[in-house]
Amino acid sequence: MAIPFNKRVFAVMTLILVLLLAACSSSESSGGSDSSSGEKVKIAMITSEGGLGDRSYNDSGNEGLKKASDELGAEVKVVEPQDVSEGEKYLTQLAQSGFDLVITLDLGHEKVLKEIAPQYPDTQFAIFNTVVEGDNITSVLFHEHEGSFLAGALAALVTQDESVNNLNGEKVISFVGGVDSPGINKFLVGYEEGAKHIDPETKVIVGYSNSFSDPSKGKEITLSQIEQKADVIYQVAGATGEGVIDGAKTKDVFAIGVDSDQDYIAEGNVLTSVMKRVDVAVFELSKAAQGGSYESIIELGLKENGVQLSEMKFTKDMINPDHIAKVEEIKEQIINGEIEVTDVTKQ
Amino acid sequence: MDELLLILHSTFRMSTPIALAAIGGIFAHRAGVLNVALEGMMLIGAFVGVMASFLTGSVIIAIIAAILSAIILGYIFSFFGITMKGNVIITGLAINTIVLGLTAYILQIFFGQRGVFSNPKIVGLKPLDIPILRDIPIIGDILNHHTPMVYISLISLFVAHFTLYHTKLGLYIRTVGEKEEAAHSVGLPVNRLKYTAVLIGAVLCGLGGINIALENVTMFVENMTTGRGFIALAAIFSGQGTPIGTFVFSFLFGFADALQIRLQDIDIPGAYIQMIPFLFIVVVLTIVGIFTVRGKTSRGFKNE
Repeated sequence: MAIPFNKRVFAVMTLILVLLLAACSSSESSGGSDSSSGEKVKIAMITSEGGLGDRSYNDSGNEGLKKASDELGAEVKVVEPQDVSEGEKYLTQLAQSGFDLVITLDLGHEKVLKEIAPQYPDTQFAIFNTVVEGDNITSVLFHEHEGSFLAGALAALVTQDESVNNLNGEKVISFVGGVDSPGINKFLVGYEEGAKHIDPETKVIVGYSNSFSDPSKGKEITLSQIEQKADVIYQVAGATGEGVIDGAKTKDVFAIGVDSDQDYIAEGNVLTSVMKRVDVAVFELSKAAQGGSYESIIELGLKENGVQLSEMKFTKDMINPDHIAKVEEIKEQIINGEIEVTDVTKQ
Repeated sequence: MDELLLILHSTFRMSTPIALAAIGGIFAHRAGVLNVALEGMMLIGAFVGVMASFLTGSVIIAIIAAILSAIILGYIFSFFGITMKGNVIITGLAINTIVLGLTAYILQIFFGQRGVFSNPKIVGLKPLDIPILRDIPIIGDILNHHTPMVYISLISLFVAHFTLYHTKLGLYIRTVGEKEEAAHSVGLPVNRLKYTAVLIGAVLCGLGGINIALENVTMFVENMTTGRGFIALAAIFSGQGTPIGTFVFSFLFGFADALQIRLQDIDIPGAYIQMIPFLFIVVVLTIVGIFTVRGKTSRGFKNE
């Protein structure tokens, strides 16, 4: 009995293998013909840890991709790795499946991208927030520090105000980061510099949650900072930040959102959001993909509207209009170079 | 002093989910079943609790639904791990993985949400102001103004202690864990007792999930338990499977976490401060290990 059974298994396995190979080769050839006819540009995006639904960074990128799909008719695909270490697998797979442009939103893919990109010269790669050199790599940099500077300035102005919400008038503001890394501290340093620009005596309390998906902890850190008199809390911590906003709402103080417009999450308790227009960048990249010519570095700051503060739909009328005017003035100064904001990732 | 009171107050908040899962997990542990699925049971409790609260607007229904969902997982775990005699560690890990994927999937398919589910319609549990506690100076500052699950975790400690050491059920469960063959030979329904032990754990994990998703915050985030189930396991092992010991260690782990949050604004590199909770667990487990290893005559995971 045993031998025939084994044989049968072997036969089935062989059959499956043959079918798989056939399927692979046929899909490859069809992929090739697609790109050569140039009808539809194929764009894939790999999200950073946390994936879609962060109502922030990844979602913003997805917006840009949707726009590319709607307006440029691009064929798009989003891949959400569970872990940074899967970057290599996905970059390779997507390049092999004939995508014209593979965008990764994860900074952690820097090293593997450097190795993989030269192996697939027909595919253009794009990475955010870091510079990776290579003939077929576009690096997109945001000047988050500039946006954070504005947020810090606004926070320092508002924290001295006792008239709105439950603010205490003390010159203390705070920051909650996901992890203690240059990518996150870029926001922090801009925020601190902005606050000190308004009033050098402003104290900035800093906390890290060590997780991008732990709102409970985010809230706990926030409550602890509020007890230490902080009343404007800037969060750069993915879904953990939801807890920060929740904490600010509980104590009726202000949180500052990040990456996308998060003002609506707690109306009247999110002072503003430092928006990183990942959508603008992804759309720009998609346009480049359609045209077939890429730049090696794209820098987006306040000037290019790649970074901006939200329109403050719910908080604009609550705070002193002079504050907003002051922030607007600072924005102009940053754009024309009068104020220079430190970028820790470039040191 | 005030600072210390605040840290202790927040310690209770941070240790509650760990304590609930750990005290629940004790029963399975004492029955000789290593329940790695605590994490998944908590996560499903959090998820189903949020969904039920969103759909019905009732906290009571949310709690019941959370407990039921965890019990279902408990049955699945027990069926494969106990009835089918599968490897409990693998079964448990499988359950954790399934829950992680399933919650994300349901969120996307039925609610069109990815990653985070937050909505004003989700009703959460509010902190209680208990009149007797309010007037006691220091204890009131630490113990008052907590959400219901914090008190339930304290109550569960006493109930668990009583059940394990002063009831027949507790005695049987301990017997099964200590010597399964002996329990069999005197006619104890070994498998049914193991099922019971796992399911008691599931109930408390469901409550732990409620604590994470409807008390601390009112939202669901993918993988929001972030390893608390495993920290609960560490608490069980550190506390050598006794309810009081386990609770003390859950509390210590919560304390280490609350402490590191407060210490973050001191001028020590953040990474060192953030290591505290984990370093703490390693140190405690090592010390406990050194003491328990003495006098052991056999090897294997049951000794851990």
